[in-house]
Amino acid sequence: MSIAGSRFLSLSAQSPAAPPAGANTSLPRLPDGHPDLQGLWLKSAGGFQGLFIGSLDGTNFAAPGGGGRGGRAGGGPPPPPRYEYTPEAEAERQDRLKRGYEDPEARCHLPGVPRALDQPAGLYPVQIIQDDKYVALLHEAMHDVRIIPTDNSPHPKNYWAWDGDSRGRWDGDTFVVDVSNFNGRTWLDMAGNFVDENEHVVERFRLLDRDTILYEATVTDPTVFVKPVEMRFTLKRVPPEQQILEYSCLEGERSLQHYTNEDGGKKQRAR
Amino acid sequence: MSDAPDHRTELRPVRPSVGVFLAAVVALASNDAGVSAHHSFAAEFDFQKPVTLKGAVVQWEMINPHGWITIDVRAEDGKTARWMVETSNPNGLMRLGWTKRSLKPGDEITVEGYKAKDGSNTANAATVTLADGRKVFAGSSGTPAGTPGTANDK
Repeated sequence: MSIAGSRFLSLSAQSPAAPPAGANTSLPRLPDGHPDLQGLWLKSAGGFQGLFIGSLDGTNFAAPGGGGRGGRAGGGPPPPPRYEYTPEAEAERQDRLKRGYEDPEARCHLPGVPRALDQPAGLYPVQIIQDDKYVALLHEAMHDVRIIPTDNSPHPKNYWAWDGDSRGRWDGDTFVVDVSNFNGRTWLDMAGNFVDENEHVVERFRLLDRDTILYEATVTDPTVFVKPVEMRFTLKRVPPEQQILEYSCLEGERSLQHYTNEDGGKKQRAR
Repeated sequence: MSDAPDHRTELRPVRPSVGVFLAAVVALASNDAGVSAHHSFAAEFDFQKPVTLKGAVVQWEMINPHGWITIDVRAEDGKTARWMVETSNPNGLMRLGWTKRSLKPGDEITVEGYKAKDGSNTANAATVTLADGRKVFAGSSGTPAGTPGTANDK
């Protein structure tokens, strides 16, 4: 199975366009001249393997005495983003930090942006499918799908969503996505960092070489942050024998009944 | 049942390179328990409460967002207590070579993990030692470093 190599959305017949002046000519490109971002990608330099040290096929069991972890293994962790909150938002963040069980993603809601890509490193890949009208991001985590038009169309006036509304454009060889229209309910991580409905994100995808995308996101939210939050990490190409797997989050969700606050008390809020 | 030949192929697990293996070992040195595959480790489990569970598998469910091992744990007095053990996300486990057939009812296993904060017979698995002695990782990415119950744990 190779979705990555297919023309998922019909690519209109056209003559190959020349890449921009001064562009990296070694990058794979589509007939429209833009870099070909298609493929299966995974946050972190380590690939899936960075996550675990034990496997069942006899090649790589747990190290002696080691329980193992390492979601950020393989190339080291990306620099943590700096969150500079307004005083009111800082108090809210500290409160949420104690109430990790209220994280919407822990309840199988969509992660929002940029968390759709900022998942634990080495775990959930994203598949990119692209033509001259759309770039589609198929995130394994939470079965999250973003089909991003690149036709200069505006955000709608009457639509708000977990992932907001994404509109893409090409800035030279960089794919730039403007994301707005958020529902304001998402957390940025499991540590209580959050945004509200005024969130606005600019994402930048730049193919550094055939197997590496530099992903950068700038998150602004004037009612939450006093300065924009910057994120930056690389996505590495996953071997072609791998594929997106099913993630039916509610299938076996049994953690809700055990969620507790910091001191072990049961304090679940309905969301 | 059809007698038609089975042309299906197996999805292949990932075979780690030596470099990546070393990177994972390096990662063991850190102790960031804040990140998990789907939910915060601290929202459900207590890394200060390690537990070792030995017993017979009742059920292995390789389901999202986390797999679950149901195990009857035998106490020294011969009584059994039923525990539910959460593993990592099944997609991650599948890429390690786990399948839904990896554990069968009756398999004698040892789980090293961490108890749930709510006091129920629930735990988060770090490692599973199979009946044949193979020790495999089953934890979430937020599973604290070190083997539960050793000096590595605070």
